[in-house]
Formats: sequence, structure tokens, C-alpha cells
Amino acid sequence: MTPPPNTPKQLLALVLDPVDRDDVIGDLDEQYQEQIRAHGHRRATLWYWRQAAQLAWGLRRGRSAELAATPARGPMMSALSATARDAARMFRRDRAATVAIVLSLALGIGANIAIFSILNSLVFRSLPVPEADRLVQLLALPTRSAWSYPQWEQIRARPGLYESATAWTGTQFNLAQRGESNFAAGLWVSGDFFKVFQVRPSLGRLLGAADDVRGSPEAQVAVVSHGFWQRHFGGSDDAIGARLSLGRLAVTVVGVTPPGFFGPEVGRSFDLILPLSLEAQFRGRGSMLDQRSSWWLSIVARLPAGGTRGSLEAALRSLQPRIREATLPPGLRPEALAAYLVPPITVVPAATGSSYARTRYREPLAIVMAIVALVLFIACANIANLLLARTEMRRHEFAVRLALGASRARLLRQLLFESLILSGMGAIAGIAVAQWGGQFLLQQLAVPGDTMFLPLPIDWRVMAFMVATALATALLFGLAPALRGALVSPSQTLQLRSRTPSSGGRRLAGMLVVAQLAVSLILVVAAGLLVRSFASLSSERLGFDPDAVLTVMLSARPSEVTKDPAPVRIRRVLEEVRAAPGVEAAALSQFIPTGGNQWDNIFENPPGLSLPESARDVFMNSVSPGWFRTLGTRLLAGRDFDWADAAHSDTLAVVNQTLARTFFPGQDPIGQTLREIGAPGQDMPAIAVIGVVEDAVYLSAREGTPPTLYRFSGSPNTLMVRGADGSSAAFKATVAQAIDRADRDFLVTFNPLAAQVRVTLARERILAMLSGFFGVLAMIVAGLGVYGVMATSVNRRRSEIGVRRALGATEHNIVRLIVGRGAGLVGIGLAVGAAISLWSTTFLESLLYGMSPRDPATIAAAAALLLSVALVAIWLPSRRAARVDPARVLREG
Amino acid sequence: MPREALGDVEQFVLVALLRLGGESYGVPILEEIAARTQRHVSRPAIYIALRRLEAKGWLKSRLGEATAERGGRAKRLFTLTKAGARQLQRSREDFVRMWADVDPLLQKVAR
Repeated sequence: MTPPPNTPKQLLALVLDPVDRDDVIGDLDEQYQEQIRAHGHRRATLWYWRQAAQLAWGLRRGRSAELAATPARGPMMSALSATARDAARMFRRDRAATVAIVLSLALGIGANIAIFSILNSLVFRSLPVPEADRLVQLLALPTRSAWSYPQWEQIRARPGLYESATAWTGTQFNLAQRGESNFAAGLWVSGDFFKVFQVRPSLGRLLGAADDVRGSPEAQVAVVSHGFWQRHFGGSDDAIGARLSLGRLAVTVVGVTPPGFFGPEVGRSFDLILPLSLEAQFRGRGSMLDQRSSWWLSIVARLPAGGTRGSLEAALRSLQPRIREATLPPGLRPEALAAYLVPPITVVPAATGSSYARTRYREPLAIVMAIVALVLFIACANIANLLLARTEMRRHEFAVRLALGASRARLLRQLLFESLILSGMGAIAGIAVAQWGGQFLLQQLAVPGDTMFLPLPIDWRVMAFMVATALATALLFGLAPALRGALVSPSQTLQLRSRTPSSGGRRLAGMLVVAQLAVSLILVVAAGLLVRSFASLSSERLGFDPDAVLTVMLSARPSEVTKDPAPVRIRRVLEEVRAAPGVEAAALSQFIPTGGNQWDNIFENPPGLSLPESARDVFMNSVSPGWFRTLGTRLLAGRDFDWADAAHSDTLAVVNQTLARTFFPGQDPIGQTLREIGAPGQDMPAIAVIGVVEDAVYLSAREGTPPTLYRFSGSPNTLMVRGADGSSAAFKATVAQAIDRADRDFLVTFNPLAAQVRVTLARERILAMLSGFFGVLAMIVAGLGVYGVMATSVNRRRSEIGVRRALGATEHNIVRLIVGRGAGLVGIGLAVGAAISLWSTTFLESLLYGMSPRDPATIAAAAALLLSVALVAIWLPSRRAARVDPARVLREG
Repeated sequence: MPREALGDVEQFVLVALLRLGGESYGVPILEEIAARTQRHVSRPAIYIALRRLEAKGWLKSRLGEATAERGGRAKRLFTLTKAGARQLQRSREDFVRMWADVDPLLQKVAR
């Protein structure tokens, strides 16, 4: 007698109501035998499949029609509550495992929610203003978002194009009158700013077009943020009408913005908002309002109802020639003129605001998101193995329940429901983990002087993500164990009364171990690459020694004490600081290395060479004598500036090695001259090289060292001070006192140079930190997974091992036996992981430094590390197996 | 109050049961209907009819023996109840009355 095909039979059993099941399947099996006799085995099997499918479909429908006719039974509700009851009983019985599972899920899901909520707030979320989808940003060129003020006047003069439009830019206001700076984050905004963003005041009034009129004395007003109002004015109504002194300006506070409004830039917040027209008074002669070549404003517009981005763009492009002609910067070279006139004005959606942090952190965050998702996957594999082992232990229970008439559907439902409850509890606890973890991560993303402001609300996207993650994890770790439980064969299990599970369970556990190891290898390789990149970046030679250097930004206020011009006052400060105790050296420069500012220009080809323009792009800085010594940059040839050079400062320069090599290959650079390319008709002086210094980092270690030229200046406004304990608070106090002695009217901002250098590596640092942390975590979790599977397998094989021992196998033989199987799995897992790593790590390429994403040493080291962890995890249970006492095992039977 | 009528699959099932001696189970019923009629009656339709007839009290059932070729699953043996027999009778009378004297007409149209 041939048994009918098992799969359709099992599926049918799963679908059918228990009342139907026995006789229907029995009848089918009985006729199957006739079919075999009449038509042969193959056609009979086909017939069986067809009949099973028809029955499953037809009887299910028949039943549900019947149930719909008699709703009094409420079968859904009773089934659900029965399932919940069963699940609660199960959790109580196995409390330790339940707690462990929920905790690991809380951490795993929480980490995922944390990263997602940051991504959500940074990338997906609209600005919290009405109808944010009608906001668009105008880009002056396709690749450049900033506009000059004359260009903005052209846009503003055409109000028919949009409902409202505004130009804004971020700035810093110094609230301190003297001594150490106290910066507030500020925005310069044009009149319609609040109309565009449709913000209502929470106190007083906001700015309007009347406040943004150049030269109007009434325009000396400011609006403060809700946070600043709380901090600075204690949330008092007296804030309205209060005066704030900001350098040259004294403004009157007229209103407070509502608490939820953080401005147009995601990732930053503001304290003060001032009318753009005030910039003229604030900066005086340095004002950028009339400068045609300063591009510094962002323009955001609100589309009219029914208007589209495309139509606004088309309208602006048709007006473009007039806008550009009217705002032509003076003295453009012909090629620069074309570059100014031709590229089209571009309009992009701005519902999510603009964001520097978004550009900077989107890619690293996406990578971290992938990493935490994979860690969760590894954890799910562990839980699946745990539940699988539990299912195997409960086989007998399931068989009894099936034999007593429980349906397979109900068993499956119950087992899946148990998983869902576990993952649901994990997800809810995960929210708490995410709140904490998200804040922690934001703190890591912040750098000194630029704190990250990013609200992380739990909106519908985060909720949807949480629910989806909970469902996905429940299926991931719950489906396989549930199916195995529900498909238990009652007759076999009960007849054999055996606790030895079928080979299917072991195979599944093995596959999970392989997947786990593969994924953790990928994570460890990625972590290795990112950590090594960070290490090589931070050990990169900077060309200066930042550790003992304190930088001091000096801004001179118009002094009541002395009418001396600023350069004289700065020189006096320098002399006083040099004489202060503990100061080894001090000098001035225009820019701080790695400070983020850049001054570069194209130089003429040196005689006899034709270098591409990119090679002639020279980076510059103005420094005072002694600057190289202060920073620890070695002088390799020639001499440093001295004060006597002030007379011909325009014609002398110290250059770095790269410049000397590029412009004067094979020659002595000292005494050679080079010339900047000036504006048409402008005659630039020849600059003579008087010294060569070693290459030093200009922007960041990652950018490498460009050709750099240092010019003489006696009074740039950044002071560099070297002292034995240059980064200490005491040293800072000494320097502050010296400055105060020299001139009481300087505003100063202190920042250790080493901290500045660290800022340039913030992104790499946080990636290395997170990937390293999760890489180690993945390794531990995978190790636990291997250990768990091996320990379970050893337990199952106790009697077999006992027999082997009784028949003369040595402890060594047993260890070999167990380790052999485990090592096979580990080998497969690592091989699969290595293969995937070769492909997947290319996503990291742009974030790596000084190594290929397929760096063989890193992959080999990661594999070796994981292998040793896995071998320990295998060896421990195999030792225990070897110590099995054969006599006891055999007695127990 | 209008009487509940029997559907034709239900009639087939009940008549097949009578032919099989008053008590039988799924397989013979299926085979009897397949052998006697020229139409294909689907398996689920037969089972649904059996359940319905039982729910209305026109059939009753008990579990029978389990044979090896049934994979150890019991047969469900159905018997016609008195109510079921009366219902069948009424259905048959309805049909007979409807059919009385129409054969010549049917033949005329079908020709």
C-alpha cells in the first residue's frame, strides 16, 4: 500500500475544520488507493493534489458561508482569547527565556527605531509648518543654492511668480559686551519670512515687510525663539520691548516664535531672528548687501495654490537673462561671465527644509541603519533557535493536543501569536531604548560650536516602522518553529514516545547558524574597515602639532579707551600674550588649519610648464612671523617671515613642499616667483618664495594637502598660543588675563586646536564607534547562537555518546566528533559571509580612507576573529559531551 | 410557512444513501452519484451537502471503523432520518407534479 503524498495532506489538515477533517481526508486516502490501481502512481498523486486543493478551497468557503449565517458562536473572539490564554501560560512556565528574549528584542528593535527616528527627522519629515509641500527652494545655479543680495532684490521685485518668498542666512550673534564670547544662533531674514513659513507668534508680533527696509530706524527689531525666551528672559512677558546689544546693533525684541518652530534648517535651531536689512548696520563697511560677488542667501518660496514647481522654474528661467544682467559682478573674465550667465536657475522641493546635517550624515546613518538591522537579524536567528529547541521539547504536548482534536490551524496560530506577543513586548520596550539611544546618538553627532538640534517625535512613520519591525521579527524568528510545531505528526510522536526530534529540526538550526555567522562576518568586516579608516585618518601626519595649541578668535569692538586702529591693538595683544607666563610661542593667522575656512585662487603657469588648472589651485593663509614655530610646522628651507617684511608683504611668500614640487620641479624654490591670476586688466604682483615648510593639512586629513602659500600679515585676527599645558583651563585663564591687560575691548572665543582637528573627523569617529560596537555585539550574539545550537545538539545525543563511550571511544574521539560537525557549519557560514562581504562593502567605499573596501587583511582578520569565537563556542559543549558518564546514560535508557 | 426545499445535490446524496442500503459513508456516496449521473458533482459540494443535511436533521452520522488504507482515519457513517425521508418524499412529489404531462411538450421543443 502506497501512502498518499504527505504535503497536500498536511496542508489540507491545516486548513480544514477539525470536525470535517478525519472523514474527508480518510475518504480521499481511500480513493487514492483505487486511483493508483486504476491509473498508476504518478497520475494518482496528481489527482490527490487536485482533490486536496479543491477540498481546501471549497470546504473553507462552505464553512465560512455557514459561519456567517450563524454568527452567535463568535469563533474569532473565542479563538483569540484561547490563544492569548495559552500564550500567557507558556510565558509563565518559561519565565527566564521569555525575559531574555524580550530584552534582546527590546535592544535590537530599539536600536533600529533609534536610527530610523533620526533618519526620519533628518530626511523624511516635513518642516512643522502648514502646507509644507508648497515650499520650494530656488537655486541660483543647479549646483549652487546661494544667491547674492542684488539677485534676491530681482526675485523679490517679481511677486507675481509665487505666493510669497524669502531670503535668509544663518549667522552668529555675540551677546557678550567684552571678555569671552557668548554666541547666540541667529538668522538674517527678509520681510516675508514668517509669511512663507506661516508661523504665528506665541507672544508679541513677528517680523513683516515693514521691518525689512534698509536705513529705516524702525527696523531695529528682533524676534526670539521660544527656547531663547525661556533661557534668557525666563519666559517673562517683559521680554517684549527688551533691548539686546549685538555688537554695533541694539535691537528691540518684538515677539517670540512658537515652541515647535526651529527655523528653515533641519538639524539646527535659532535663538534670534533679525531683518536682513539690518545687516548693513551690523557689519558696517563689511556688509554684503551690495556685494554682487558674495553668494550667501538661501531663497525659499511658497507656491501659489495650484501652482507647480515646474511652472515657477520655467517662469524664472525665462526671466533669467534679465535677472543675471542686472546683477553682473564687476570685472568678470570672459569664461567667468559665461559661467555666470548660462547655468539655469533651478527650483527644488523644500518641504523637508534644507539641511547641512542631512548631506553630511545621510550616508553614514543609512549604513548604521543597515548594520543595526543585520544585528537584529542575528538576534532573531538566536531566538528562532531557542524557540525551535522549545518546540522540539513540546512535540509531545502538541501531538496530544492534536490527537484530542485541536486543529493544526489553532496550534499554528497559537505559536505565531506567542512570537508576536514576544516581539510586540520587545518593540514597546524598544521605544524606550530608542528614546534614550536617539538622544545619545545626537549628542555624538554634535561638534563643539555646532550643536545638533533635532527633535525626534514618534510620528506615524516611526510607529509604522516599529509595527513593521515587530511583525517582521516575529515572522523571522517565529515562523519556522511554529510550522514545525503545528506539523507534528500525532501518531508517530505518540507511538514512538520518542524525544529525539526529526532531522529537519537539526537541519534548520544548522542553517540558522550558517546565516548568523555569515551576517556577523559581514558586520565585523565592515566594522574593521571603518575602524581602521578612522585609525589611519587620526594617525595621519598633520604637519603641525595641535596638542598644546590654544586658538583665540579676536574681534575688536570700537573702543572707548583707545582710538587706535584694530591692527595696532591686535599687535599689542600679541605682545602681551607672548610675555605671559607659560606661553612658549604665539602668533597670528587669518585662518585656523582644519577650521573649515578656505581661501584659494588659480595661479599662472610657472615658466616652461603647462599645468592643468586644478594643479594650479593654490590654498592660502595670512600669517604673522613665528606662526610656523607656534604650530610646530617645520621650516625646511629658506627663512620664516620677520616683522621687517611688513613693508613688502604683497610680494613675499612661504610655500609648502607640495607647491614647491608642483611649480618648481627639480629646482631650488627659494627666490623663484609666482603670480596669481587676477581680474581682467588687473596686474598682480610677482610673489617671491622666501621659505619652504613641510606639508600641513589645510581642511582635513581626508582632503590631503593642497599646494599652499602663506603670505605675510601683521594683524590677522586669530591668535595661536602654544604652552606646555595648552589645552588646560588654567592656561586659558592666563591668556584671557593677558588679552585683558592689553585691551579691554576685545571679544574672544577660545578653542583648543586639538578639538578643532577632532571635529574634522567627527563623522569617521562616530561611524567607527557605532560599527565597532555593533560588530562586537554581532560577534557575541553569533557566538551565543553557535553555543546554544551545539549545546542542544549535545544534549540530544547524550545517549548516543554514552553508547560510543561504552564501546571504547575516548574523550578525544567525542570532542572530535562534535567539533567536526560544528566546524563544518562555521566554515560554510564564514565562506558565505566572506563572499557577500566582497560585494557588500563596496557601499562603504566613499567613507573609507587609505584602504580598499575589499581589503584582504581586514577580511582575513575578521574571519579569524569570528572563527576563534565560534570554535570556543563549539569546544565548550563538546567538552561537556566528552565527560558524559556512559554507565549513567545507559541506566537512564 | 413555506417549506424548505432540497437542492438537487442534496437530493442526489439522499437518494444515493437510500440505494446504498440506508447507511453509508463518503466514498460509496461519491461513487454512486458519479456512476448514476452524467454530470460532475464536485467533492466539496457533496461534503457541504452532507453537513447541511445533518445540520437540518435530515441525516444523522456516527463514526465508523478506521482502516489502514484510510491512513487510520475513521469513516463517518450517515443514515437517513425519518424527517429526512419525509422531506425526500415531498421533494419527489413536487417534482412529479411539476413534470406531469409535460414530456410531449419538452420533446416538441427539443426536437
